[in-house]
Formats: sequence, structure tokens, C-alpha cells
Amino acid sequence: MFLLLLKKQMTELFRGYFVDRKTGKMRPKSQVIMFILLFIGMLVLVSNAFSGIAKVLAASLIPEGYDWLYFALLGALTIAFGIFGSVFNTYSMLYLSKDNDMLLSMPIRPSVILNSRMASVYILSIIYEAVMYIPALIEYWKAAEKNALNIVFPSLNLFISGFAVLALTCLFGWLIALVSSHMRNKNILTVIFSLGFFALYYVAMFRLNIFLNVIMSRADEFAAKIQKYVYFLYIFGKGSTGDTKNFIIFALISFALFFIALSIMSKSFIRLATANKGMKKKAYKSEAVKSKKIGASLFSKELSRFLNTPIYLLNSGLGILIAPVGAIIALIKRADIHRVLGAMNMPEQVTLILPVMITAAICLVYSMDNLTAPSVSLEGKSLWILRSLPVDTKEILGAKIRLHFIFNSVPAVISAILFGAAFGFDIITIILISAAAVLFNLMTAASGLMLNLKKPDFMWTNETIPVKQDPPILFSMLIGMGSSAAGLGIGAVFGMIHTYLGLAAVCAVYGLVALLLLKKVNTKGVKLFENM
Amino acid sequence: MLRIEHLTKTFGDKKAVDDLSLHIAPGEIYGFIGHNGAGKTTTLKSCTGILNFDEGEIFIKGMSIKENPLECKKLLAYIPDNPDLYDYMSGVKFLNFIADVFAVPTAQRRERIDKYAELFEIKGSLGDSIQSYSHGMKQKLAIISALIHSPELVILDEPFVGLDPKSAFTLKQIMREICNNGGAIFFSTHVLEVAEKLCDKIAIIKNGKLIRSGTMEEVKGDSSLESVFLELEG
Repeated sequence: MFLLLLKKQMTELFRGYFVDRKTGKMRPKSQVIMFILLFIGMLVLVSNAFSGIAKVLAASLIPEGYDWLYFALLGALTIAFGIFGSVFNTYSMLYLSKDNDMLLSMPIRPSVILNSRMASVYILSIIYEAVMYIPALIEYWKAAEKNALNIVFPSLNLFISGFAVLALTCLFGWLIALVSSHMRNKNILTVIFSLGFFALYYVAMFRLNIFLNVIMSRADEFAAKIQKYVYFLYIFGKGSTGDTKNFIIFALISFALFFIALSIMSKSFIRLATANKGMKKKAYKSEAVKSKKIGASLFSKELSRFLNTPIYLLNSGLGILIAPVGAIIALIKRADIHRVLGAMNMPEQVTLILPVMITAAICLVYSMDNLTAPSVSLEGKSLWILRSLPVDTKEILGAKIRLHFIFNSVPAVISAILFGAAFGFDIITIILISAAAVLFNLMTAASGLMLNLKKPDFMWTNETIPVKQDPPILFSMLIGMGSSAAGLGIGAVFGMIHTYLGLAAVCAVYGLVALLLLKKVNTKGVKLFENM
Repeated sequence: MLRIEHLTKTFGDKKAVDDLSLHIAPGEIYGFIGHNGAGKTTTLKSCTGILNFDEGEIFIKGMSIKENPLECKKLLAYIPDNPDLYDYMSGVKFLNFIADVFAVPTAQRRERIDKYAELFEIKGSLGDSIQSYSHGMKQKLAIISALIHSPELVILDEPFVGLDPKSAFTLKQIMREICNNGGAIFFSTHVLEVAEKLCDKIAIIKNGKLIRSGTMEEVKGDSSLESVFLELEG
């Protein structure tokens, strides 16, 4: 039964890669292979970013005999990344599935339902951990002398540490569920918890470089402190280098953590999974009856869903905050920026294209944030409402585009202004960067929507699937990243003649593509929606 | 009010509806019965413009749903068999949304919301999130949303499922009231007693084909609707 339920969970998560959700038919093999390769390609891309950190640490720690410290540090990062990757889905995956009532009414032990859901969280967290841990392993084997134990143990530690990650993420999900069951506005709580976690994660990541430098310069002192105060990381590190005793202790502690989490959660699973998921009880007042124009009403509907669906808000809206926060930090540190730029003695061409590079960076951040890519799938089984109402399909699709456009463009313009002030750009440059970011968001809004119109998925049991797992999300991110890179290339070519020319070229390309895509949404997109 | 002519709808190789023709006049309550998978929901969804069909035509007050979908939809209201509404909205917000789409003036929508919410005893819950509603409450909210713009044609798919007896009675009264005011009702049901008592006309569908239609007397004669239905289905 456990395997059957796990298969159901995994099929739901990755079904989009194998089955055309619109027709329900299996995809052709070539398409499945392409989707899988793209998924692996994305993982390799992210993985590559971490191999630099591993390489630097391996070069400085392994020759000094601090192999275990190398693993302890990268193990900490791996565990943090594993938690970061799965923590936001855990609550909804464990407790909010739409098939809760059905499964609980069947002759299945609730513990089996819980275990199968935890197993799918485990698999997801292993994927996230592997992204960081595999480059760490490769760099280690390149730098250290290999033997059977230091090949097998660190490899197994990836799967063993997954149990510790699982315990922590599940306890986080359980904590949210527990507090939620006593609170009226559950969605806000989930968002506050998650944003708090985000803040911690990003503060840690921003300070990572400083932290690593300190470790490398004072490795002895640091190793002693880890050994004394963070025993869990110490035994992870020692075990990974081939120390059998510490490998076993680490495995026992990880399994123990998992069983503690499992026993805590088992006791309250039925109560929390069947808790009333309603929101704040609010008395009805006839003043609440108000009129709006159709366009405003459709926008308000999209906004309501965005703000009241935590997984949508957190996953699709993350980029909204990242760029302005980065820009504020740049503004605070502008003296340092100018000092570094001055010391670098950059060639004139590079100075000319610096605004283009900032534009590409802003666009790259917003490429990770697509509100339209899951927006059609999220209509789910309530699609009949829009299909039966006398509303022009262009207005329905327009509201989805406006939501993405407004939520991304406003902070993108704020970021452009702040970055402009931090780097000392003139007003025309700032206006052009803002325009490029705005047009980029218009373009990604239209491309995300077209992707979802082509590959909608209405058969989900959990919002995590359309928001995080379905192909339109992956493709919209890839297209966004590719467009940022293309913008950088085009802008750099023209920017070397004049900054304004480079930025204007980026604006022209993004504007033109946005126009073409919007036209496509209003023609082919409308037909696709009307045939759903 | 509603004219279905030679409607054919295919899913893959299967004909869900096969050359079906029906005419529903103003003032009529028209019942639509058939076994599971007979093609009732497909027919109803085609009439509301939710599903595109392969052959035939559907006219609402003389307008083709294919040619003038928006104008047709302005005249009708649809209630599906399973009211999946916007869980992220409150009841009143959902009603406001529907009323906005039909451009119902504020005073009128307020008056109608108050009237129907009291009739269906759901007024106290309108401020709550739809997520917290039971199946029956969602069904009531869907009915109110359908009535908020005073439609001339109401298409309902199994409307009595999930309703408590009092609300079912209220709905039947409202259905009759709409017809008395010149509107028309087209609804599917498995409850043959309800169909027998409530409908002016009835149509029986089997495997996508219309096998009998007409006034209640024409269809059942001296027998009960149940025995006629079982005989035709057998």
C-alpha cells in the first residue's frame, strides 16, 4: 500500500513530464526525453554555481588535512539547501491534499498515508541536496586520495542526511499545521513563517563569502569550534572522510531524528489533515456588496487567488522581493561599490555596458518569478465559471497578464531607480533600465501565459503541482533566463558604442517580442482557452 | 427560448451526443433524464457555451451560441453538478464577481443577494471563505450566483444533489417562478419523482441519442415515469 501511495504521489508530482495533462495521453518518447533532459540541465546549471564554492574550499582545506571540515561546511550548506528546497511545500504536501478525505475513508492506515507523503518530501529534498552535494563530492575526490571508505561513506551520507532534512522540514510543516489549526487566518501564518525562513536563508547566503573567508583564514580555530559546538556537522564530516565510527553515529542520529519527527506527526495527522481549512469567520454586511467594472473584477479575482494561495504567493512571488532588497543593499553599500569600481580600472567599454549588465541582472531575477505560467492551470475544476460567463476571453487573459505585469514591474522599476542611484547612473540611463525591465516583464507575462495555455493542467490535487512542478513553470524560467542573457548580448554589442544605444536596443527587442507574444495571446491563446 | 438542432459532440472515437434536437419554449420546465454517461452533462455544457460541439446548432432566443456566445451567455445561467467555486474568495466576494460580470447595479444585486441568501438560509455565512463551506452551502451559493442577474434561461445539472429538503423546495418554487415570468428551465436529474412532479416536458437520452421527448403525458401516458424510463433504458 505504501508503494502504491508513493507511486501516486510521485506520479502527481512528475506526471507533466510523461503525460500530456490536456489530453491525458502519454507524451511521445522524444518529448519525455527532452523534458527530462531539460530538468536535468536545470539541475546541472544550478549545481555548477555551487562547484565554485566547493573548489575553493577543497583547495584550501583538504591539503591542510581538514577533509572533515570541508564536508562539515558543505554538509551544512547541503542540508540548508535541502531544507530550503522542500520546506515550503511540506505543509501543503503533508496536510492540504484534496484527496485527504477520500484516502482517510478508505481501508488504509493513516500512518501509511503520512509515510508515503513524507517519502515524497524525502525524494524532493534529496534532489535539492544532490544539486549542492554532488559537486562537493566531485571536488573532494579530485583533491583527496581515494579509498573505498571515502567513496562509499560520503555518497551514502547524501541519503542519510536526507532523513535529518526530512525530519526538520516535516517538523516545520507540522508546526505550521498545528498553529494554523488554532488560528483564523491560516494563509497569512504560512506566509509569515515562510518569509521568516526566506529572510534567514538569504541573510546567511549574502554573508556566505565573508564567512568562508573567515573559515579559510582561521581553519584551526573554526575546526575546534565545530567539533565542540556543532557535533552533528562534525560527525557528518568525519564520517564522510571514511571514519566508520562517526559514519554510524551520524546515521543513527539522523534516523533517530526522523523517527522522533514521525512519532510526533503520527499522533496528530488525522486531526490536522481534517481540520477545518476555512479562513477567518467574518460577519456578512450588505455594504460588502459593491460594483466594479468587468476588467477590475477579473483582476481582483486573480489578485485574491494570488494573495490567498500561500504556495503561489511564495513560489511565484519570490522575485518580487529579491531585486528591491538587492538594490537597497547596493544603495547602502554604494561607497564600497564606487571604491571597488574605481580600483578595478575598468576599460571604457565595460563602463559603458555596466547599465546593460544591471538590466540583465534585474531581468534574471524576474525570470524566476512567473505569475502567469501556472495561472490557467490554477483555475482547476472551477474553470466552468469563466467558460460559462459572458466575458470576452481577451479580458480574462488580460487580467492574468496584468497581475504578473503590475506585481513585477513596480518593484523592477524601484530596483532600477535604486541601482541607478547606487551606481551613479544619469536619469536617462535609469529611465531606459526601467523601461527594459518593464518590457521584459510584459514579455515574460505573455510567454508564461502562452505556455500554460498550451500545456494546462486541471487535474491536480495540490496547488504545488501547477505552481512548482508542471512544465510551463520550468520552461517559463528557462525562457526568462535565456531572454536575460540575450538582452545582455544585444545590449553589450550596441552599448559599446553608447550606453543609451545599448539600453535602447534591449528595450526595442523586449518590446517587439512582447508585442508579438501579446498578439499571439489575443489570437491563438484565446482559441486555446475557448477550446478547454 | 432554447433550440437544439442536430447536436453532435464526439470525444475521441466516442459520440457523447448523437444528432440530438430539442426545443424548449418560454414558460417551460424541461427535464432531461438518462443513465450515467448518457450525454446529459455534455448537452447541458454545449448549451452554455462551455463545450464546443462538432455538428448541429444551438440557439438561445434565436441567437446561435457558436456565433454570439457572449450575447447568449448574458441570457442564461448555469449550475453544474459539482459546484467547484473559487475557494479563495468569500461568498459575498464571489457573488460580487458574478454580478460584476453581468453588470448588475449595486442596489439590485444587494436586494437579490439579501432575498436569495435569506431564502436559502446562507446569509450569515456570506462573509466566510468558500473554502469553509459544505457541499450544500456551495450548491446554494452557486444557485444564488445563477439567479443574481435574473436570467431568462436557467440550465441546471443535478441541482437538487446536496440540498436540504427545505432548500430543494425553495429551489423548485424559484424554478416555477422563473417560468411564470416568461423564462425557461432546462435541467438534468436522476430523481424521477421530482421530474414527474416538476416538469412540463421531459426528454430521455440513451447513449447520446434522444429516445423520447414531449409533455409528461406524451412521454409516460398512464404509467409512472419510472416504469417508462426503465422500459426504455432496458
